[in-house]
Amino acid sequence: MTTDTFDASAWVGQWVFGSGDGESLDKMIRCLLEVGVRGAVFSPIRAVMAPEPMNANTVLRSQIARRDADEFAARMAAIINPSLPNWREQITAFMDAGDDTVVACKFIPNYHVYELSDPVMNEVANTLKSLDVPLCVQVRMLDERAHHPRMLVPGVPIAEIVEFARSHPTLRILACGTYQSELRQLAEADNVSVELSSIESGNTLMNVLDILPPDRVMLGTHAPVYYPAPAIAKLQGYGITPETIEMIATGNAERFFSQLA
Amino acid sequence: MIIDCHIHLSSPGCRFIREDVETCLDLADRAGIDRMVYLFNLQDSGGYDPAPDDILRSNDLGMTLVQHYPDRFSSFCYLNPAHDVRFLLDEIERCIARGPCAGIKLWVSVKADDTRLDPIMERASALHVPVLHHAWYKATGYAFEESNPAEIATLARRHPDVPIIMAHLCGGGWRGVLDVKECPNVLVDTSGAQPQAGLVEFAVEQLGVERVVFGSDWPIRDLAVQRTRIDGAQVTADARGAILGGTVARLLNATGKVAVAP
Repeated sequence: MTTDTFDASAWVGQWVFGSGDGESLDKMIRCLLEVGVRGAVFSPIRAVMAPEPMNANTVLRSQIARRDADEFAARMAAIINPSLPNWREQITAFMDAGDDTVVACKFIPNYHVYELSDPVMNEVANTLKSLDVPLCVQVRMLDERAHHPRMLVPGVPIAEIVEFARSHPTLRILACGTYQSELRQLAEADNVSVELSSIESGNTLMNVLDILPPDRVMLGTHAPVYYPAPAIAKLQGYGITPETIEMIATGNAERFFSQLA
Repeated sequence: MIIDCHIHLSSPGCRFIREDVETCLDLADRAGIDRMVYLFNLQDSGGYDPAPDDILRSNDLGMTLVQHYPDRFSSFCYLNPAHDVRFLLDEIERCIARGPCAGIKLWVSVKADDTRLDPIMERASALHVPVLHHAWYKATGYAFEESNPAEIATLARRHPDVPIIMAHLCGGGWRGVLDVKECPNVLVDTSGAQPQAGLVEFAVEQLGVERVVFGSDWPIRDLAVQRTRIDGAQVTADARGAILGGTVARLLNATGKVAVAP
């Protein structure tokens, strides 16, 4: 197993439907280091349920930027809500900052109540492309069966992601929180990658690579909603070459979030 | 000794296919799992409401597994409580009393608190074998007669001398743990679902380490990934040892069907 693992999708904060006492950036980094992760792209979890994401993004970016350079490469995917009138301001505030802290935008269409097919999304996508910003789409935050019974939020339709991706073939897209059963459809759009946090089957990585080429697969933990160690175990890769595992563990993320390299 | 108390096979026609079993064992070896408890076959087993022939086929496969790999597999006797009582008792006799099965598996055919389970539970008590019962709390709706943890608790109170392993900690969730807390004969297996952080610790804190046991739900889930849920939980090394195999070893040994070093 590589010792240079990178987590493409993690969070800072307390998931409102989870247990715990709030996961700070420092605590998250300690937890990830313990399982061999050497860097991560974090997003502020309270922005999922917040009416607007700017404050949560600003706070997290400051926390990351204040850290001394050390063994852990902390980066950020800013949560952007394009259904709000200030979406341009959201993007430019975080992607034009000239620092390497923020390496992507993350959309949460289901919790923020919009669709990737909405008319504004073409303009949003073109803006991201003009800035060469990769996009993460959070398909779900939790197994739907485990949702609060008064707050069922269906996953982002995979067909919608595929159509959006095909409409913008030069936009790098990472689908986060997908299931094994959704991979075959996601495979139809060449510019969509997936992270492993919610993907699991009898021989996880082998089954993923039966559907997707290895350069479209990344490690993600979805911590602290999930324990991070199980995601790392997916890299055991029965019957998979060390070179391929290295790609999935870190190489693909470096290319996708190009500022990491 | 690491024991996974919750696996399936997915064998067409419930046939014993050595190659598939060897793949399972290879994956188990890579995950550091020494022994697995087969519960029922996922394919060609009659779905949610299996017929008697489906039950016989699935249990035949389990007993064949044990026959071929006695050091690697245990098997439970899968039953549908909706069947005639005579059939249920005959199958328990065949698989457990006269056979190698070390427990009983119940799924979604009949709710856990249904009195049709009583003859099964009484026989389990007489034979000193545990019953592993599926349970889940689902916001998205239930399958057939799928049980929830509160219904497991009702069953447990009616049969306090039968060890009941309630499957799927992350399916029952926090409420499920609390539902069975006051039922000392109920253990919870950690198999299945996504690895929601904090649940293993909560279960240990509320139930005690001796009532949380490792399971994977392979091949629906990944052996190594499911095991790592325990490895990554914030529990003591002793607790981890109990969860990963110590407790189930004692349960299996008490049946007299196996002799497993804890």
